[in-house]
Amino acid sequence: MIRGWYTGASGMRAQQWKLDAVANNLANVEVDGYKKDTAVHKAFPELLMRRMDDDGVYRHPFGSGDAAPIIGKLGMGVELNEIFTDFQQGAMKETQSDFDIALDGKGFFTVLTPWGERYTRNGSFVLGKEGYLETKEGYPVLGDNGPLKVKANNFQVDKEGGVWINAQYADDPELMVSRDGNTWDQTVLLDTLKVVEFDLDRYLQKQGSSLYRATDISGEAQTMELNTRPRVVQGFVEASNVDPVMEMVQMIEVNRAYEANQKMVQSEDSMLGVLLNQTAKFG
Amino acid sequence: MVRSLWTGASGMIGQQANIDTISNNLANVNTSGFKKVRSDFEDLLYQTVRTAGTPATEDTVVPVGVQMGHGVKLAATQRMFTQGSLQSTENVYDVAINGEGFFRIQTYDGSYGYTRDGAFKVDENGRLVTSNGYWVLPDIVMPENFLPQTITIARDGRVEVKTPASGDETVQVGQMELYRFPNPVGLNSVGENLYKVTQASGEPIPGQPGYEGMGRLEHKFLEMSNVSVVREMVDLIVAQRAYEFNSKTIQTSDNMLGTATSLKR
Repeated sequence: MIRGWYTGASGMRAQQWKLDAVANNLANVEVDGYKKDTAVHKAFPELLMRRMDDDGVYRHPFGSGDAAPIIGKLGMGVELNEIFTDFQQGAMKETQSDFDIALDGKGFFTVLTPWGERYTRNGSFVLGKEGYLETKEGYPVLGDNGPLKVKANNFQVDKEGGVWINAQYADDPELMVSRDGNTWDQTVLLDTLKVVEFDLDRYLQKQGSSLYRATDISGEAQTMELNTRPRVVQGFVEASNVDPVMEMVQMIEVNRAYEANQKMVQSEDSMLGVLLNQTAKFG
Repeated sequence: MVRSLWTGASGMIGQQANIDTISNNLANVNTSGFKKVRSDFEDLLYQTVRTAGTPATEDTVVPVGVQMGHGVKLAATQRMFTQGSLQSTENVYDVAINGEGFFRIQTYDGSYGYTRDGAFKVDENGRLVTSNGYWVLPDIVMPENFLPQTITIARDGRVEVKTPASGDETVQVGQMELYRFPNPVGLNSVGENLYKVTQASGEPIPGQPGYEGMGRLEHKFLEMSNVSVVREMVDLIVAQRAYEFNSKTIQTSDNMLGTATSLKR
């Protein structure tokens, strides 16, 4: 009796967690580069139920020996097993800003934070005070040779992730220049965006602010070879891959499953009530 | 449960800010020289309920952890300095910048402001001023008895005008300058179509219109705002729906809380 009670309660708890994940997906539906989370439930191990010593003699299930007879299996409820991140490609949104860069395919941008390298799919960058390409939190974006000092508020990114700046400004490391109209006679390759991949990218840890952290299981970041790199597109951002319809359906499902589990707890309760009252009559 | 309530609320707050931005863009669709603003969002903190890699049994580890997000936040409102379309006005005091650069304006407190709005006027002393009466720098002062219809502003910024005394000859009365910034996105908008310098924008670099990357001046034209009404309307619809989705999250959370409450009879 009491066992069923907790099974129902565990169902309610699991649905509650699931709603948390759905809620976060919906809240981030307009975040560039956001990847949706999916909650996965797992059943607690089922237990074999044995009749408790019915006549004081243990019997083997097949007639001999001394174990009590098995009467069947009983599930022990459900728990939240994992929340995994779905790295499906999001839609491409045109912005016409040179500072918006999207990855079309697998891979991550590398960002240098005070806590080490972090990874992101959100390519909506800005020009920092010193002329570095930075995220909105002010963390420099890394190229293969360190932070990218683009120096100007226009630069070109090719499909392989190469960052090109106006040759005029390449020589002076401190010069910071503004958009220069049509004087793009010559360009020089400044560096190539550091685009990395992981053995198991679904095991990356989300850190907020669109950043991911490598974990022991995801493995270290590996710089992607040129021929496997995603297409790098300038002037676009990747929208979040949250599908609001699916999230809404899940939310309804969660709500109903929650109610069903609640009904179970209630029926257990009313059965227990019957038991208590019946017993009282005998008393 | 309570977490999803707040997550939904953060989504609603975020979309509210989004709509605030969009409505300001739409309100300024006819403001000359206005540059549209875009809101950018980021996900909020994550609570690690179970860390990936912790031991599950004696010889296995949890492969994927459980991390709960807490919603969304507004990361930045970013101004988009793309060129607006040029509109012919036939007004001799109107001038548009085709390309990069800002006019420098001196406001009443003596500080500098920068604007793309070239709808200028002339004050009682013949001085070129903005619609709010702020001085355009460097000073452009019309000579006495000048003939307004003869004012010409060249693409390189030379301002010339005829007077009765000069006859058919034009008199050069000034040279307009433009200023550009290493990072115009970092400028501080103060309203009245004016921007102020900040640490992020960098110091202004002066130059002559049409040279060294500065935009050219177009006389008798005004630069329209770069707001695309269709785009804003689509953004508005998306924002409204996102707002609704988040309100549904709150409703569902509330529903479930009600269900939990009704456990106890």
